[in-house]
Amino acid sequence: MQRFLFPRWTNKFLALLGILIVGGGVLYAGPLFLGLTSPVTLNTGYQPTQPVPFSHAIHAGQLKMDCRYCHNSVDKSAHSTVPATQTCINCHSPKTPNGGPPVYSAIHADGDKTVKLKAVHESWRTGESVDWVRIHRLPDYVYFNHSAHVTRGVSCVSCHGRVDKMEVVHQDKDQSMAWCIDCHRNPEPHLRPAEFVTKLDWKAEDIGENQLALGKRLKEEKNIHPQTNCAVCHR
Amino acid sequence: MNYPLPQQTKKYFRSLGDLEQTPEFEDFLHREFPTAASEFPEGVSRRRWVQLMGASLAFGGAVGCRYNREEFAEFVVRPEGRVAGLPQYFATNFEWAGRVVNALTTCREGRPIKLDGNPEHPINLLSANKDFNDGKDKKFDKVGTDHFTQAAILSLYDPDRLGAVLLRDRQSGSVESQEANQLADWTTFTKMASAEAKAFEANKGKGLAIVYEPTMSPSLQRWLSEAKAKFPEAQLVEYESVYRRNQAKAVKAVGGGDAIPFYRLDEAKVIVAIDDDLLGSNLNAVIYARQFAKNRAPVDGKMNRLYSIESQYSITGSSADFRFAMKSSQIGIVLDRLEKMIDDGKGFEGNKDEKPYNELSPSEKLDRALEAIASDLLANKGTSLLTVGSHQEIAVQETALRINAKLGNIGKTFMLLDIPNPLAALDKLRLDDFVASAKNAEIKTAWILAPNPAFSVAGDIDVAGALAKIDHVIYAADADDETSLLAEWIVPAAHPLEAWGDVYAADGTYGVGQPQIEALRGAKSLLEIGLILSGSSDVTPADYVKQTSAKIVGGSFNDRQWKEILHAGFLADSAAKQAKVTIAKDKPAPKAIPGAEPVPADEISLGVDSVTKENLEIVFYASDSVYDGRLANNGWLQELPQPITKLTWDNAALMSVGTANKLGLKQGELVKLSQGEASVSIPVFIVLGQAEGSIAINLGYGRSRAGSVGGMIRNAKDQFTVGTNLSSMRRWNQHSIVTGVEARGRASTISWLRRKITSPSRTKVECARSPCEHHKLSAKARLMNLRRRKILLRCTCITQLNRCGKSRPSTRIMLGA
Repeated sequence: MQRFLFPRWTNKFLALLGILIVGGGVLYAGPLFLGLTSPVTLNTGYQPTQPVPFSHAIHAGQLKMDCRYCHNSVDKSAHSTVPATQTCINCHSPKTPNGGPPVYSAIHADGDKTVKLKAVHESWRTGESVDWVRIHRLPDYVYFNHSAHVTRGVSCVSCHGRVDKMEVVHQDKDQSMAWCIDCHRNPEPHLRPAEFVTKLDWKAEDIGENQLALGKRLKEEKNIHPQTNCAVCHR
Repeated sequence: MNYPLPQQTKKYFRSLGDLEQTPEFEDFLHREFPTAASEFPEGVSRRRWVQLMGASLAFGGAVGCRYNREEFAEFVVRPEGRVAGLPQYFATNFEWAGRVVNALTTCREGRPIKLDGNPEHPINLLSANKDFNDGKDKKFDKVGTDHFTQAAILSLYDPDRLGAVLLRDRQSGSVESQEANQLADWTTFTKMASAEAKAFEANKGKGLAIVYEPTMSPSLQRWLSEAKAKFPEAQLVEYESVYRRNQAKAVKAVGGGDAIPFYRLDEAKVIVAIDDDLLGSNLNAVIYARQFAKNRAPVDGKMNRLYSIESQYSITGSSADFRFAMKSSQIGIVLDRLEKMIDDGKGFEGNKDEKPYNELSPSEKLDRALEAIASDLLANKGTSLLTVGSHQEIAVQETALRINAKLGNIGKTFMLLDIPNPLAALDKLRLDDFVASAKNAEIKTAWILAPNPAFSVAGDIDVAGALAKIDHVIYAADADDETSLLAEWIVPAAHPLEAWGDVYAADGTYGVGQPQIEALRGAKSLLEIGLILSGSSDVTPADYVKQTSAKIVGGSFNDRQWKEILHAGFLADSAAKQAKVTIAKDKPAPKAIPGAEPVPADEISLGVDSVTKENLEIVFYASDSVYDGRLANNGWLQELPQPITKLTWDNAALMSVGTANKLGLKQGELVKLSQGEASVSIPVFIVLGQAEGSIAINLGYGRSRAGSVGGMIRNAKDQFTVGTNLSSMRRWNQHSIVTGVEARGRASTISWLRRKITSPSRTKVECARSPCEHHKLSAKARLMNLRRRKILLRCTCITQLNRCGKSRPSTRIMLGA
């Protein structure tokens, strides 16, 4: 059988093919690497379904509970813990197994009817933990310390957004390295007196100050010198 | 102004190879891992490599773009005081490698990760250096521990630890375990043990033997004495792998009763360490080193003086103001002479024919040293201290006690502490008697609670033969080791950090040991195994220890006191008092030992001229790395260079340059050491400062069933060992010092060659290695072991974590965060 050869007239399309391949490559790779895989696209808006439809909007927003009631190690340790089941049970304790009144307090105490609290009550009864889904996650090669930030007056809202308005929590900021460094180079817009760190709707104007001036003053007072050295986070 | 540079008078060197600039050392300098470097993956072509890398790259891109979904598994009820991410500290006390550890544990997320000395413990306050630090700098409040304690953490996470109860069919040797079927587990073991305990209760324990290691734990002592009361005809067999009883026997012989010696180096101006590594391998070395350093401040003028007469060059010898090297077997003669000089009140009498010390002959040097020591001791009555190593004979120990009594040191620098021990009054068998009566079929059941006696015992005691004659052998094992091969029931013994326990510190302060973590491999503590065996498993070990505490505290013992003891790590003001004893100062008439010729006092052989091939001595020491072999599977300790020699992963016959020359031996050659029918072939390692004619060898090496690090012989093809096993050379009645040893070099080289030929798969090269040379010679073996261990460790940790994750929710966070 004779081998197939492209006819000679197709040669003039070679250049076009080249342009198509190169142009297509640029069109494909450009958005892929600049847009699709950027932390902004990948991280912001991540909103997994939690085992318990816990509403931060109700607890932190309407009821004005302090963040630290549940995330209580945030100002002590590198980790900000997810609350133990016991913390939920403090208010939402189920009826005793034989139908007696709840041991602690009784908000939605009836285990059979409160579908939303089922996982919590289940955990309390069995001793197995509630498997909360992690939303904010830094790579393992990044060291981040919550207490170092919170005790110096960087509010929760700076990194986590208005959680007090979120019915279901999503990731608000991209938490990329550029984003970290941005604040480490220029912390003034994010500093506030430490007593207001968990007040998410707080503004400098509330105490009659300008945010930048306040930030600058706090930076001086508290001797805050954020580093941008690699080894600060990549230990 | 230009100052002249100080003239370089001392030449510093890292090893003898460095000093002599041998070709081997030069070679080492050029390539750090010469053997391993040539072992870079073979058989991978460039093309294949590009293929693999390309595939990795392609697959790397194909991985999803966001992190995996990750779940928190929080506690249901968080433990009190636990803050995720912050360490917690707990005081605890336990016995480890023969010594008592008063520790402060650092725990992270419920896991112990580091051990340090408990800074508030009275024994550490006793030696705290107040002059150095007036409590201003917290850093100096930290208290150290020894290397065995530091490495205890790694042993806790050792994947080779026994993880299940084993039941061995002693005819076929096959093992039933929980994994295979349900025949052997803690429930069946408990059922078997309680049935047997009932039977023994009925026949008063006839045919029962309990083999245990001497202990300072009041609860274990109480359990043993209660077991003896419950089964009056049972035999208690005390077995000490590193024999230290001689000192206790000597104390008793001179009228000190059961008091336990404890030194106060901080009260002594003159310290004479006779063949005693006070600052190095002594069980209380950490405490003694601090006490010693307290009076070593030349600026203040507070300077003690340390004399050391010893055979092996030790840490104490290297810190001494004056050191004299001589055979350990002749120390007794020297001490007798010293005693006589002290009796006569005669020390250095000055201005005889004043020759410089360097020009004296070895025996004249010894004379002058003794004169100096005697006059220093006589000038510091009550503030001097003379100690003798625990491996020396009873007569030598007695002499030392008498000298201290004559100098008025007892109760001042040489304490004899009144620490209660209910076992002291009980009748006990020695292991050799136990073996004899087992062979006469007098023993039906043996509870072996001492670690691995089949390995650590001297070669002439046939433990294997004895255990084979016993119907039921129950062994509390750390790992599936040499002894467990001979036992019927093998139950895993917990690491001290997993167990409840208690212990008297060196000064007699009572402390409780609390578990830092739930038993990782389902093991139970010696105390708990003991309680099960004696049919009292209804008491939990925690309650048992609490009961012991209540007895020690006395009066109304409440929960608050118990918590205080736990929190502080010790019972306040419970240090033992000086026992009221009078030491007999008269030397007893020498007992005629049948068959032994008394050595004339002037026949001390010193110097290299006295060395012949037939009159050598061997001194066996517990290894500074693996102790008696029980820590052989600890990679940190194997990697740790031993003091002075810097040997790692090996033991060797340490000898001086002169002795080696006289015997015609070179560094690294095999020498066959023999005495009578006992013999061993072991590599030579030349050490400066070793006494002429004396050979020091470390025990604990050559394990055949230690694990993936310390040595394992599975079959003819898969075998590796670390170092040389000395059991063929050791004799029961010569615990540490063996005299009249013959050394032969050439014959052994042939046997070494034969060994090489018969076992071609040996990965270990037969040679003594300092760290420098050691890389070169056995890097392959070492890397293989380390790699295997790392993989194992990682696997076990992860499975462990997952397993724990079910019962302890917080653990799963650890993996992701």
